[in-house]
Amino acid sequence: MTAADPAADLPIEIHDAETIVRAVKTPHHVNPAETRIRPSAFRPAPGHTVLSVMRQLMGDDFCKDKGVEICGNEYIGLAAIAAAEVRRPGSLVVDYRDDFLGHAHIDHQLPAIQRNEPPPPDLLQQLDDRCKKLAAAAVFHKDPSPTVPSWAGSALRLASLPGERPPPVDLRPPV
Amino acid sequence: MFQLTASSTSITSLSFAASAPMWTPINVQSAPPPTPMPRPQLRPSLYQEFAAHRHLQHISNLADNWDGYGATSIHADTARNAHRALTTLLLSLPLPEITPNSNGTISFEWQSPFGHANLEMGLTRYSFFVQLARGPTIPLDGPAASVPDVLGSVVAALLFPVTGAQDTALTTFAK
Repeated sequence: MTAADPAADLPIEIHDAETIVRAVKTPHHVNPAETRIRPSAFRPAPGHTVLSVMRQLMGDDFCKDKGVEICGNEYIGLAAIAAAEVRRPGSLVVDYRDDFLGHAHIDHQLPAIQRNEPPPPDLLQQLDDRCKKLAAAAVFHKDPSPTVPSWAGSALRLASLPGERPPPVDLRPPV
Repeated sequence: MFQLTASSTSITSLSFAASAPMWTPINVQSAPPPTPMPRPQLRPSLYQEFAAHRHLQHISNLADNWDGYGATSIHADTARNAHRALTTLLLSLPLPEITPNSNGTISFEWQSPFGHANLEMGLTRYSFFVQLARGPTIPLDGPAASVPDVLGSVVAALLFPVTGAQDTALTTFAK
């Protein structure tokens, strides 16, 4: 895989060290200071057991542009989390390129939640615990220029993959 | 699970089934517990309470797909249930973190060194648990229009205890 064409050879398998990206649309999914992502950002939509994420291997610009495309105008930033941190508490992260290349699903392996009704207490506790662990491990990047194409924030990638050169150091001043 | 057996104004009206799977005895031999502190007034000011209800009102006005991933808007009755519960709980608890959920429910969360509590309000049901840092997880659920009046007092005693209050509350739950 090259930096010029990250999609050319995207493996289906997601390595533990790979960075997974969740686009954040609503301010309700971040704390008031917009520095941390809230656990509710990792809750699946009603009737679903999975939530949509992107693979950073496709590039930061891809994640930003796709996030905007998916989320619409209220997009506010991106949250990055290592695949290993998704798997640690028991969730799955799997490639789901049926929708688009670079798309993946996080599956909490918990029953789907009903519309308008809370899950029973035992399921609520499991879901709360799972989402809290993911939120604690995720790094939220507020987009400094959400209406402009391409990513202008700090690098999303959290770690290098085995056998890969480390990502270049970001010399841009912090936003 | 808890069962409401008598007057909702009495703390002894909550009973806890001994067979509940989430109940585990407290190990008093391990690390020293957090020290209960003299408790200042937990109840928020009138202005804070007003601001909380206003935030709740804002959440209630969210349109469908407010999170960009197919979230459900908040039903008027869910909002009404949440306002009613919040009014009651704030008689004895500090302001919770108030979060809308993708399935159209509203979560209230309290956190302290003694544990955390999560109450999720829905259209017809509520779901609740309090997870103690050094003790059991206590689940509770029921009709959304009748969150027990004593819930706030019991959670306050467990998460924001003055000396002796936590033991009393746990004993009450265990009965």
